[in-house]
Amino acid sequence: MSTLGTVLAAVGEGRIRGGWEYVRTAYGICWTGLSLYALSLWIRSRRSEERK
Amino acid sequence: MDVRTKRGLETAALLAVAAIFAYAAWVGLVWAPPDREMGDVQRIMYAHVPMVQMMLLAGTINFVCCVLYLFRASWKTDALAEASAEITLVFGAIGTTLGSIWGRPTWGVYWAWDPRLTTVAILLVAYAGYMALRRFVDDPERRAVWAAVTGIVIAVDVPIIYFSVKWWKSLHQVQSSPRTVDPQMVYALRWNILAFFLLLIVFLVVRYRIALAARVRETTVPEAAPRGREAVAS
Amino acid sequence: MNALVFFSLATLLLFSFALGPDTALLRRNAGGYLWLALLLSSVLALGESFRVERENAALEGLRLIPVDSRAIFLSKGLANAALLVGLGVLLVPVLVGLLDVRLVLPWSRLFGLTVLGCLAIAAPGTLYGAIASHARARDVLLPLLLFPILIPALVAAAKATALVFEGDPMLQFDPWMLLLACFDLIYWALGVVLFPRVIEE
Repeated sequence: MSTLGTVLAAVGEGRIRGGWEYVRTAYGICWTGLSLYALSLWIRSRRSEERK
Repeated sequence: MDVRTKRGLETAALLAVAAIFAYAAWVGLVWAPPDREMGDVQRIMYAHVPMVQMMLLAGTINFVCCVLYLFRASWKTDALAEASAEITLVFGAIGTTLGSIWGRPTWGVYWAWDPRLTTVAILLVAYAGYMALRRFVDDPERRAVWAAVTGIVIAVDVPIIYFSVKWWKSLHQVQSSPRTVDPQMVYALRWNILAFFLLLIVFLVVRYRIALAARVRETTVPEAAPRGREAVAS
Repeated sequence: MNALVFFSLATLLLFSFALGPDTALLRRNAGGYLWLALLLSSVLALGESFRVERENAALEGLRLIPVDSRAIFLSKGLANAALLVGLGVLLVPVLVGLLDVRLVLPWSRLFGLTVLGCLAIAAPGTLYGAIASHARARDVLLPLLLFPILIPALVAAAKATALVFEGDPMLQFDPWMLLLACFDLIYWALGVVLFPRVIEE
């Protein structure tokens, strides 16, 4: 059944291999974006407090 | 409750939110198993799905505030409307970007004219317009009324947009998003939804305070309520 | 009005040049161009509609007359719609000439479609026009607010127009018209309800 084996090997598992770069990019953008927004909120909050 | 205790409680709350967020991130990135078809790319869903859900929640809050404001003018309602609109925009922009990154290895493209995706994109532009309107109107009362009107017009349009795009694309196959059935994945998703929900609350509260303080500063008498239909000093 | 006509014609020309001389492509997208030209022209028309009044503080004067603000919305809105329909009617023969389109469906359908589409632009357009005219950066604000809202109407109108020009074997024209009609109903109702709040002091 080596032909079956060869065919199966060619078809693969049907799963995306690796892809951690995508995960890393995605989470990087998510956390950076949220952090930047949080920072902006903090700065504006500070400024708002001072004006009081 | 004095200022010290309040500050203490708030710091404790923030730390708790940060801890939950960290745990949820670990669960999603490390603990949860890779998907049978998508592999580890699936993990992006643990950030994308909650972000978009929170965007919709913030948008709903904005809509409710807009309607509320027209019935009962109050600076608090207006401040919450402003806060929720900005957060809708931020969460939506990040959420859509995450979805786009997920789409590349799975769908093969960064963008597709999928009804949901397109509707969200239009929604973001619409809310950008809403924020621009708020910036370009100087009179606080007019700004509040006009922003409320705009928010309502946007919200009413969302289902129409969705339906029209769905129809527009009806000749083409639309990819449906995968359903997570694995209980471990459900666990990971649930924790992330909680984490992002708490983050939403934190951002909303802070942004609301900033907006309310600005409203108070803008009105000559700090206790003045806007002259609405049934103006209530609040 | 003249400026508006020339602007819309210029827009059509621009599209033709920007998208290349492939006549088959141009013909296929003619419906889209028509509505884009109308949409862009509407921004000018709506801006004008409120500019005159703003410069003469006539809006305040209007409020003093014991006329229901809802009547103001209806009259302004319908006037804007009529203007756009006129523009649309003018542009169709230009389209036929420039882009070599043919009317496969009867012109009465195209006319009905134009009316519904222009009503769709006029309702939120009049509402936002009143708002934008009293804000800063009004020329940017109006299209920024209006365009996202009008996308479903644009999709429906452009699709239906394409069907008029190319034929409708699957009978999709009526459903698109229905969508447009629903959009009109919703936004004219919303406009009548919200316009008084927009212009009240």
